[in-house]
Formats: sequence, C-alpha cells, structure tokens
Amino acid sequence: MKPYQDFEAWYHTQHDTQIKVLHSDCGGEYLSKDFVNHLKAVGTQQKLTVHNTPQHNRIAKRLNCTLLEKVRAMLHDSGLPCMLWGKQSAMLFGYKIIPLPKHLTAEHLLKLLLARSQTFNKFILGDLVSGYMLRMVGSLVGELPKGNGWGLMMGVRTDAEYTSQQGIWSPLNEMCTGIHLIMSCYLTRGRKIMIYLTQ
Amino acid sequence: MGHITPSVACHLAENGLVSGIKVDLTSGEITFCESCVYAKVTRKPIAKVYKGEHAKEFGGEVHTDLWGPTLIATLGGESYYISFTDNKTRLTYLHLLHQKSEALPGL
Repeated sequence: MKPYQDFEAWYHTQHDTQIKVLHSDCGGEYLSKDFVNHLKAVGTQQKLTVHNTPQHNRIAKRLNCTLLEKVRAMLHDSGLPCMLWGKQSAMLFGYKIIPLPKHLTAEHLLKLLLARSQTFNKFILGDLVSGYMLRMVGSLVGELPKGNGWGLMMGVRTDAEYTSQQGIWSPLNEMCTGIHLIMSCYLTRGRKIMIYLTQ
Repeated sequence: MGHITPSVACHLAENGLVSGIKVDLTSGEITFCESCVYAKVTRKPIAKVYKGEHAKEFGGEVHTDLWGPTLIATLGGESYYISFTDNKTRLTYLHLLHQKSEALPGL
C-alpha cells in the first residue's frame, strides 16, 4: 500500500513517531492480505469498525465533510464556482453569480428578487442549507406580492454530496414547468452566499 | 390481545365485537407504547459523542478513510483520496488517488 507506506515514512522521519493503532472501516483495501501482513510486520494493530457503521470511525468521516466545506469556501472565494456544482448541472444550465452584500438581510434579498422579477415573472428559491437562511427567507414569504405568478419554494439538503452529484435541480423538476428563474442559495460555514440564476 | 393498535381496540369495544372489556377514553388516546418500541429496535443507538478512550500520545491511534469518487476529477485526474488523521493531535495526511486500487498496489 504505497500511500500508507509514504504516510508511515513521513510519520517516522518528520515526527519521530510510530503508528500504534490504525483505525479504518472494513473497506476491501484495508482487508487485503498484503496490507494486513504489512501491518503485522511493522507491528501496527489494526482496528476495524463494525460493518455499515461509519459512525464508529467518526473522526475520519468528519474530515470528509470538513474538507469539502473548505474546498467549497475556497473555490467560492477564488471565483471558480463551476467546479462546485458538478458536471451535470454545469452542462445543463448556464448560471451567473450576483455579488451580494456581506451581511445579507431579508430586505436585500427581497430587493434583489423584485429587481429580477421584472425580467422573469416567476422564481423558485430552493436549496437553503441552513436554518438561518430558512428563517430569513421565511420572513420574506409574507412580503411577496400575491398573485402575479409568484412562487416560493424552499428545500433543505445538508448532505455534502448532494450539491455536487445531482445538481441543485432534481427535487424541483416537477415544479419547474413554466418557471423561468431558479434561484438557489447556498450557505457555507463562513456564511458566504451564492445565488445562481438559471433561465 | 397483545399490544394491539389503540384505535382498533377502541373500535372493537365500541362496536361490541368483543365482550367483557372496557376502554377508558377519558384519558385520551394512547399513542406511545414503550415496550413496542423496545420490541422493534434491532440495535442500540450509536452514541453522538466519541466513546471509549482517546489515544494518550501522538501516533497512538490513526484513523483512515478512503473517499471518492468525485464527479469532477482534479486537474491531475485524481478523483479519490485517502486520509490519515491522528487521534490525539488530529494531524492529517492526505493522499490523492486516481483509482481506488492505487490505495493498495501489491507491497
């Protein structure tokens, strides 16, 4: 296992440490004879989690979320958003980003929506990731003009893979007929907001 | 009658389908039965907080996980990574992989 050997060597040389216990899930890569024999030869104890229980290796799994969050924040900061949304949504929809004030308030959002509504007569607001945004938008619902084909839709998805794999559109597909503007807010941990408009 | 659905029990008693039982409806309908819940669960809940001992020293325990694939590969064409995280210090080592099998070429 080349990566593991690299890691072992790095630990040994840079940090003067030996790995006492290696905790992993029951993935095939950790169960192969070569790898197990290598661990035995080096004297590392192998600790496996119960199958179908990733929670028991929480520290490693949480890292995946943390990394994705960081990657998203960095990509957003650097202005490379298309990397975020996955091939599917990038190919299917063109989108552009509207710069928003640093502390977005309900009024800002409403103004923005109203400005856009002159061009498009319907919109959907979807995929709000945090309760903070939900509450904020919830306060907007009462202020929206009634009739005139206004629509408001909110959805909450928090799983990390959702945004990159299926695009942001799938739960809305059925509702999308006749709706010309889809708006999606995505809130990262650093409270950065992206709004994607799609025609 | 075992742990029969409350509404069914009421229905039976009210329509006289079963004799000799009385259903007391004054206290409202029973909606929660603890022993039913106990009978249905198949495992104990997983603790929300890390259970067991943490490693006492650096290198004492290392957590590892293989992640991927991503839909968007990196510029170098990698779409997996393997991560190693130290339990004590959370020092992390990341290795990007093109294929899952790269995690395990023959030693």
